[in-house]
Amino acid sequence: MTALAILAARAVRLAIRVLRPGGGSAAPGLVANRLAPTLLVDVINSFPEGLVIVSGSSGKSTTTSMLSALLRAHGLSVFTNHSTANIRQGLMSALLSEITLAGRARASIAVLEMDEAHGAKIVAELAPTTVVLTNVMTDQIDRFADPRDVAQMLEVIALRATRQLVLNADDVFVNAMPSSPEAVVSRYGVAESVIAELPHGLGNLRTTPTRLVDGVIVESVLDYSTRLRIRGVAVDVDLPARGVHYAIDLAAAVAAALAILGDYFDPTLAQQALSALAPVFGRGERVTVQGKLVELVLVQNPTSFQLNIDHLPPSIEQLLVAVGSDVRDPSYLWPVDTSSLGSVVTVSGSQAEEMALQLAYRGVSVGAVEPDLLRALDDFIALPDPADGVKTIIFSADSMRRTRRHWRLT
Amino acid sequence: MELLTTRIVLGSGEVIDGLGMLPGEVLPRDERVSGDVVVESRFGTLVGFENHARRYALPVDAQALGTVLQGDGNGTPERTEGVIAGSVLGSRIRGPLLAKNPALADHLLETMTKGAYRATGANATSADRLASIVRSQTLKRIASA
Repeated sequence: MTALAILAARAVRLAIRVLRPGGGSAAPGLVANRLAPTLLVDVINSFPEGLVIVSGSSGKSTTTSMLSALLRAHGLSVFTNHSTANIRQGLMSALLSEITLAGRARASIAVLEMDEAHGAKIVAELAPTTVVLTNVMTDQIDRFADPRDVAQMLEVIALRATRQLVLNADDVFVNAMPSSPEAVVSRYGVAESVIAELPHGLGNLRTTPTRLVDGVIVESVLDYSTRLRIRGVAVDVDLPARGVHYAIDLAAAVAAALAILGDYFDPTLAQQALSALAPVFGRGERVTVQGKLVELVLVQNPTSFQLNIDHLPPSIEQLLVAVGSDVRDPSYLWPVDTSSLGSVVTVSGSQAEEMALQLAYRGVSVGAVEPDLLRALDDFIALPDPADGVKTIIFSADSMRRTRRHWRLT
Repeated sequence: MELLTTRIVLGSGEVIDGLGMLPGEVLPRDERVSGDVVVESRFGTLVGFENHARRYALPVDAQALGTVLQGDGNGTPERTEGVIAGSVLGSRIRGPLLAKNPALADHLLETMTKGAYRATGANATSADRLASIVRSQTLKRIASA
């Protein structure tokens, strides 16, 4: 039955690839889960070196990607899911390439990114050896009104860790997470001087009053590099993109790798692996489309919106902002100080006018409001390269997905 | 706004004293309310978004901001939204309330400055034009639902 389920699901996946190139799909997973309901859990719990779960409001994708790179650099084969595959079906779909027809995992360790709510539901069936928690953002007004609800979900996940629990010492909720008796707790955090430099602190994260001393520490952050202190040793690492949040994700990944690998952790290997890492999927990523270089910046909540803006060069010459149907409560756009953007060439997406209204009140001049995203993208890419800097697109998740499909980006 | 009322009753039964600047009390709801809200008021039709999990019970003699045409508002059988208490205006309409409802914003500006200031100029005009598009998109969305 297992082999049949896997073959059927792979056939569905092939069909989807032919019919809808560039789009992701959870349909193959649905098929597999229906035909062999226990397969998913059986496989996830069967990785020889264990199961790592990464969860929290934001930074999951980046941390997961960085941790996978670190473990691979140390010789482990890693199964990891991508940012869209956070739920049961998406996960099963992703696993289909990674398992034998007998339903056994090929890789030695699994590093899975899990959405807070779905993760809390599924984790009772799972046996994670390591849990890594990023943060609890207090601004998820569309989905989670009360950060304490998120904290409770993360607690459920935290308590399942059997060997290691890795916590963000700067986040009041995460820092206080309970652990099971067998799990060893370790922490990561930033230095005082790092917070002092940030115009909006650590964003919508409830910050702990004192800074971490014992753990992986972000000592300093420059435009494209950061200095981490790992077991007392300073290690300089290139960042995949601008922003203190990337340095914090790095610290989380390093702290997790340190906990998992123990004495096998090699700072030099870590430094090389991380510095070589390409930016994850749409967050501060540079791509070439029709011969033109474009920087893509994904914003998922007021905090990431603010932090990303704070790290962009001011007054970008060619900027497109696209906000789509994932933004249901438009108030989510308004706590963000967008004034440093200066001017925007085009505002697009299904919520273009909502975004343009916010920009108007912040004194940002807008060239055109074009709700038709594909047309806006075509016109934008056709513009000659800017004299200064790079064409930049800031988009919400829905607009990002449509953009990636339109330009056939992986 | 809820903290300005006389009291807030939480789901646990715990009661928080409000500042008492607005009449009435805030009571728990079973479910969160979130979606478009349209209210008919003396400042015209107010359009916005509501996102909360409480009912606002106004005393009989209190004046509401308006009547709910779409959405939940105060969540009481009277189908009212918000409150007007003397010179204080309370509402749980967001989106934001004033940017989406320039007529209300203008009224507040005029009242506060005793007519000395009006929003004019290209910035105000283009912002209000965007607000107008958003309002009609919202109303169209509601009509076709």
